[in-house]
Amino acid sequence: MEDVLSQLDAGSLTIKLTSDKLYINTPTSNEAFALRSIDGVGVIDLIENYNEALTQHKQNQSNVVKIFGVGLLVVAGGIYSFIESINSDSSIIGSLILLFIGIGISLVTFFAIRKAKEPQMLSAVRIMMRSGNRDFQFDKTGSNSEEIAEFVAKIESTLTSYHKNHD
Amino acid sequence: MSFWDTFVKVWQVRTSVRIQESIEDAARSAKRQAELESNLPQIVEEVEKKNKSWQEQLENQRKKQN
Repeated sequence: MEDVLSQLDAGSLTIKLTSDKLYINTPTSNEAFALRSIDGVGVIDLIENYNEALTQHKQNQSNVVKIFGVGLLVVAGGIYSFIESINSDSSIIGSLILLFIGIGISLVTFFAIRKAKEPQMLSAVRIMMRSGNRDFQFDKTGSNSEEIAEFVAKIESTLTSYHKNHD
Repeated sequence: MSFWDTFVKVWQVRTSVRIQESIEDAARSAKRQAELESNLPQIVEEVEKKNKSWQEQLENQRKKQN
């Protein structure tokens, strides 16, 4: 019977550390690794992904701001057309429609700008094995970061004592 | 068309494709560099913000394990 030294439940990911093995369960896989095949554990910040997300976010924001500008132009056109219609005693329906369309576009884009969330930098627990690395993403400021820190420290100390006793 | 003419034409096409690809690569790489430089202050801020409490948590847990 193996002793369970530590267990991490992070949403859909469960990692269990025993005195000999590391079990990793995800919704699509169940894997078990012997501790002797694990070279180390590390935590890395996924800066490349964050950079890409930031660039994408800025691009989206810039597109929305451009559409907002178009909305304001339509509003200005609507106001101008409205004043012209009053001065020339012609129908104001067309200019009112233009005005409403412009206000609609401006409001929708304004709320889209306010609602847009800044991207967050994620990190990953990297388990280095002879067969390759496995990364498990998490947020260092997330609610389960304390558990993940505990788990990483547990793996570190277990691996150290395991390799000391078996090498 | 003689063999030599064909050879020169093929060489010209290949060279022009190579030049075009290298220009595209240079433009792509410059764009990526510019994006990274403009994002750098936010990246540094985010790294500092996220790592401050994390390092403390990890150190505390390491002390508990030892």
